Amino acid sequence: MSAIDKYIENKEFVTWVLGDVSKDDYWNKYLEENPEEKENIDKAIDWVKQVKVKDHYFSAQRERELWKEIDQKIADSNSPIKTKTISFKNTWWKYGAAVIVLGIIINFYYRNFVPQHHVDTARKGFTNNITLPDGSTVNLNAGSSISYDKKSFKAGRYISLKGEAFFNVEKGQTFQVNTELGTVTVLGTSFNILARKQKWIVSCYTGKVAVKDKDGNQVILTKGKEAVYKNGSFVTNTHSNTQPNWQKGLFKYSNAPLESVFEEIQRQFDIRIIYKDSGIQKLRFSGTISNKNLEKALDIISKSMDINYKIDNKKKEVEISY
Amino acid sequence: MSQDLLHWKQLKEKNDASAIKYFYDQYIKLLYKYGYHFCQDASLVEDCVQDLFLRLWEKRSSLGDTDNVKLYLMVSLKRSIYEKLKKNSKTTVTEEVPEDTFDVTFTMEEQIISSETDQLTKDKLLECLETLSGRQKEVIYLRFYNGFTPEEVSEIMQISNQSVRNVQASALKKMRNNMDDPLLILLVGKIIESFFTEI
Repeated sequence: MSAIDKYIENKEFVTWVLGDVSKDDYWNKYLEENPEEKENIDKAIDWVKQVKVKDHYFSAQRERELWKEIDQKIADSNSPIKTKTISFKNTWWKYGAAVIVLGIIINFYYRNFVPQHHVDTARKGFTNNITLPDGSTVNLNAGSSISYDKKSFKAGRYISLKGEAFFNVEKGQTFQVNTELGTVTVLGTSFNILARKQKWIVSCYTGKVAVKDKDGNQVILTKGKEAVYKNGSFVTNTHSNTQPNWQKGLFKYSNAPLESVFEEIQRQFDIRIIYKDSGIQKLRFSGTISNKNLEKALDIISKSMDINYKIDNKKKEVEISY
Repeated sequence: MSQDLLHWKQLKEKNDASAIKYFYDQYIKLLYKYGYHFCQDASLVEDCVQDLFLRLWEKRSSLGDTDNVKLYLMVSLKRSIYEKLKKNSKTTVTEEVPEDTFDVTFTMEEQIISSETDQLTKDKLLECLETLSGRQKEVIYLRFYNGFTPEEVSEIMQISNQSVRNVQASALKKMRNNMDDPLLILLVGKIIESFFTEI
């Protein structure tokens, strides 16, 4: 091993010789303290200084070509800076105007074309009286809701109903109630619609009502008539009420599945029914119950059906068993 | 005022496009060669050089003041190369582009080789140089082969004094491991100590 090897193999030494001044202090001190090494160090320095770096060749031709490209692009974008500022201002104006116009259009569109859906709901355990924009009134039964577009309501009275409601419609243009199974159209009358799941019953109290399903089947109901929708067709009955029973707080059933009776009880009293024994839901009940008192209502059912109930007021639950 | 700054002013204040030509003629070789050490892809470097001069023209009115146009151009080119590399790696590989990619090939003239020991020395020296980090190579390239002052180097490489000091401390530690002279170890130990008390 030659005497200079330990230097030329030392990165710190080599980088120092090649210009890393941060190592000046160290190597100057080292030289000072090891004067006998001076000769070797000088030799090593000479060696290191012979090192060259290879740079990538960049031809004069390529240099000219590249400049041509740059020059062309500069010429393309070359407009005096003054006009540039003006055109910038121009675009500002255009953008500003565009934003304002767009705002007006959106506002106009929003006011006139975008429906503003209004929803009224009667929570479970409550009924709700609603007056529509045309003065017609809707009495919502518990657990029901209507929705309509506030903006277009006066032009065309369209309402969607889920659940049960009694309508007292002011005279005027077509008044249409959409339900899941079909529509009810009237001209100023009072009527009741029950539209829950697959159940759809429309009762007319005054005036005239047209009831139409999705297939286009239609019946016209007059005062005292009632249409029950079953298996895709209407069955018309008569009724002698002046007002739906539910508005009086009464629920009349004849040979109705207990399940639907309890569904109504759940809505009227805002409780949950838990069936402890299977098959209870399928039993059939006839009779009238009131929504004034839960215990009384359950008494009537349990006595006639020979079943038991247990009320848990805290959990708002009623257990039904044989 | 130097020619560079004079042209810089003309570009900024008088929209003088000939200033771009001046800077191009002055520094294209340096910039191209410097850029090529970061990315051995001639067309990418050329693209970045082109972008650099076009941006100089487009942004002329908002250009900041500089006291050294040459350094400004080098730092901008380096940044633009890294940005392009990052962009490219995003579309192909998700691997991150390392910031320390400076690469250079060292050579030695054949004339000085007169013996077998000389050949061995040469091999050892080149081997040693190959193991340097990208940053160390960049310092050498700038200092020794392009004559930049240490202050200019730290400006081009955007290294703060603090991080320079940290690099030095770790370099000394490494060196202590390489040397077997007990006296040297003592000395190095003292230097490292002084570094740390300074920090």
